[in-house]
Amino acid sequence: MTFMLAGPAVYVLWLSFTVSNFGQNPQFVGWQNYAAILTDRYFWTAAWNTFIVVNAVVYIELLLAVLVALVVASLKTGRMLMFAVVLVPYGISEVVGVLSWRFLADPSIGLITNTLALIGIDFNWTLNPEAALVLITTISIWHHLPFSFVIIYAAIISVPNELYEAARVDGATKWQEFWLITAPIIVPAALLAIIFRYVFAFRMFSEVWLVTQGGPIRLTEVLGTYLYRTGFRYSDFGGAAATGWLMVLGSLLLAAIYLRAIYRSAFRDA
Amino acid sequence: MKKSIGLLALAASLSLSVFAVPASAQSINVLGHRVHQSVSTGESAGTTGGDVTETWRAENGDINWITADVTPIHDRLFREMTLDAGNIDLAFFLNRFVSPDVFELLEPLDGYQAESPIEAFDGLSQGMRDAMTYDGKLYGIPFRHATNALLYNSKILADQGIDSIPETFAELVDMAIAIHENDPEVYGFANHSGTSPTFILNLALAHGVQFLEPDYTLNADTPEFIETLETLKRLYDNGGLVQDYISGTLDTIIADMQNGRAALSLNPFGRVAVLNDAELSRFPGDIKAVAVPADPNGVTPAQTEVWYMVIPKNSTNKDLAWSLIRALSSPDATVREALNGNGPVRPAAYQDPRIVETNPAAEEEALSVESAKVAFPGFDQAARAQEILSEEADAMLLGRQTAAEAAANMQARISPLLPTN
Amino acid sequence: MRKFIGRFGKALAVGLISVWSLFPIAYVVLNAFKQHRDIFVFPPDVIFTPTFDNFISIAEVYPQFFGYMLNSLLISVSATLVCVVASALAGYVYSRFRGKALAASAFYLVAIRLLPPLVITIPLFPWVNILGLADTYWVLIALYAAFWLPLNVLIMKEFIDQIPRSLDESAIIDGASEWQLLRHIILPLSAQGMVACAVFVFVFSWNEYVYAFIFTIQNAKTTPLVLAEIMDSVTGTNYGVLFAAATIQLIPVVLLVLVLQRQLVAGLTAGAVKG
Repeated sequence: MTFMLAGPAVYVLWLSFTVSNFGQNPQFVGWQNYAAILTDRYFWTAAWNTFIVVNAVVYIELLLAVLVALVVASLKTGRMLMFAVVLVPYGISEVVGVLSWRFLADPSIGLITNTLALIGIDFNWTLNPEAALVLITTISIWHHLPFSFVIIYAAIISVPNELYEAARVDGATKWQEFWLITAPIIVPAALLAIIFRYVFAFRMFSEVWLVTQGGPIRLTEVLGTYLYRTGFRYSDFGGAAATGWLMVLGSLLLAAIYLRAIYRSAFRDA
Repeated sequence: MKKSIGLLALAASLSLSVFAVPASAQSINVLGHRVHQSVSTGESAGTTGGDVTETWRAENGDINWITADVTPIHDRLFREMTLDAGNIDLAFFLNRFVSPDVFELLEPLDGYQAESPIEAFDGLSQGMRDAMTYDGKLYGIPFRHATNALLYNSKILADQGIDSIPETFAELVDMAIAIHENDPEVYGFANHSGTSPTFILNLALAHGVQFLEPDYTLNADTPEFIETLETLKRLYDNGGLVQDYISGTLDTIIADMQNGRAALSLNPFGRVAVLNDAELSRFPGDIKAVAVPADPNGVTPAQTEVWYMVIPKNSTNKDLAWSLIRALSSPDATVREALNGNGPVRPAAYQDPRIVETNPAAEEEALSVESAKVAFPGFDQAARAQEILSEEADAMLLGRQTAAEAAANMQARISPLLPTN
Repeated sequence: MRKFIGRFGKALAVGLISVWSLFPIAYVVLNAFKQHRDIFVFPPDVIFTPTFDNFISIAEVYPQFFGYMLNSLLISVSATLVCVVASALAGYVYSRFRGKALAASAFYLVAIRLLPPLVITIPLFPWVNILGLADTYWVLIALYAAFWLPLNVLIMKEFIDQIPRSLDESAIIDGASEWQLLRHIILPLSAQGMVACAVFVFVFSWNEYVYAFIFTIQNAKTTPLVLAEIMDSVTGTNYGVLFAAATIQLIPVVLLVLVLQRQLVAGLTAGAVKG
């Protein structure tokens, strides 16, 4: 199975140095594909948007995951039910989830847009790229929150009750309990959540494609949609492959610190 | 826990037993949109053409319809055609995806036509056949056309006291703006920008200019096209065009018409059906179609898109594919498919009594087809060029540049993409 | 009074979380029971007469829908089995053995996932066809299992790390073979972790679109492809039908989470995925 992923990876690297007709009769062109992409202003818009959205998604989602996990873990009744409730968005297909949000935020008939309009906020993401990116970030968080939640929740639950009891006997406040007992246990789990969410969010595609297709005027393009447009709209497989490798480089850079931390704690500790 | 493992094992053995998929004796794989299947087999409720493929199937075997949405169809076809032996024997192909690269992967059809000809071959629209001829060889047989009409909501117009459709396109533009002035809840045109900017292309035709001519002459920075862009801007700024023009999709546009948020649209004749559908629309029966009002030279500015039947070069079943093409292209088949909701590619079909009887717009449609133009000829970089057209026009609508600047940018960015010969 | 505020705050938080999680889905399900023409209305009708027309339409217009659902089920279940077994074994190896090569392979396992899946399909497509695997269950099962392998290996490693080594040692002293050790001690004790992994793979396989679109034609077509096809760009989308199909497609996943809830919670918490 490793081969299944490794073989193609090498082939993609080679493809990124070629021009071809739907992948047929490829011709070696050196760095030409990379040069074309790096001088394309839309690539840089996409890279910048990706950077902003990925960071927003990863950290806001982590914060929410911790809050939600704390609330659910503190419940005495109905804890199981809430656990299932939080998990549900993960089960729905991306396409349907995005579609539902698109309707809720529709400029003319959407519940959210109309409610915001009542309090004087004009949330027209169809014309305003910033608003569109906010919507995309929200959808992405909604869909993936269960993933981060599960990881954090498991960590919180694993704290033995005696620890808290001991702390209470010592007269610790709730706040101190959190910082001294819960937080240190969350940190490693949070690292794991962050790394995987970085990897997934960096390749974000459906949320953007189904909401704005990168518009208006390609201002909400992210790297995932840039790659798709290059490869599958413009049939430029070499360009798409090159974009793919630039994305790998980018996400490695972004996630390097976390990757290192995980690598150390997981495989070097013995 | 034991129980669930047992269940999983059961499911696994079940799944393994179904893996042996039986292959049917003789069959043909046809790739297309569901609409091609339904007009050929007459499966849509309320259509009267019947199953056009019935006789063919009795004599030749099964048809495996492989259906998907428009872009995925072509994406799939291109992938399949790069294989040594493809899985697709016959495909439906939209003119806007045509390019020299694609022709190289398709089977020329002249040999088949010489050997076992299509009945009344010359009756197939000459213009449509020409558009699929490359280097003197014919690569596709036209199957369906979608020619733009002016669709309008007769109830909304009557409520506003508008009782006739103007003769010229310039008057129509004023009317679209007036509709929104009369009732701020209602907009003029429901159309969208998107990846295939048919509205601008049609608007250009209405201003007497073709954005990109069949010989790849680009007319972006002509006075007529700048005027086109200015009209677009005027419509958009004054409610003559829906506000989700830039972000909209075909679905939002259809919904705008079905819910009476817009009163006009430039869209294919065939779309009236879905707009008048009692289950989908709030205005069943009120949406009418007529030929688009004339351009300054008195010509009907209709733009069209054409679906062709093609045979991939790597098909393993070419003879069978050709025989199905023949069966679906005869004059009688064309009429029956039209009765099932198809746009007939034989001009004569519009005089057929069966069609005159069921399609109130038959005459208008025939008129439009006669002067219709394929607004964007295909070439390798056509998809990119169309998106540039949309982008620059949208940027103008958002107030980021003037019409003249947008036109100049289009000319500068699209010219290098065009074929040089 | 303070207690009351605390309780009220908690109830409010629970309410907010539920709305956030469930509302978009409830919206889909509710609209599945509305006529298409009533969906695009603001303000939406809260009280309406439910109609089953949309569900009937699916059976009429997409008669193969349920066949494709069976495909989805078989593929998802098989991929889940393959992936969970492989992850458990690999997790065991990573948990109990150390070495530079092993650490490097683990790092590689994670790093390789950085390549966008879409790009991988370009070289994979011709190979899959040469091997005659196009449009079979096998190709999707292998891809889905491979896709979740890296994360599941990490999760299983954490679980197996929790099992005291003394148990291994005493079993070996008692003369158990490596295989017996795995079967009688490691796997049963990490069963709940396997449930958690299984849910991840299943849900992913059940909803996956890109690979299914590229590698299937007819025989192995899955439900997400039908959903995409209903979002039609020639005749326009019938949203009522789309929402109805989405609702049906949602049922197995919800059932799975509900049925396995206990194991899932227990598994995730006992294992305490600590990274």
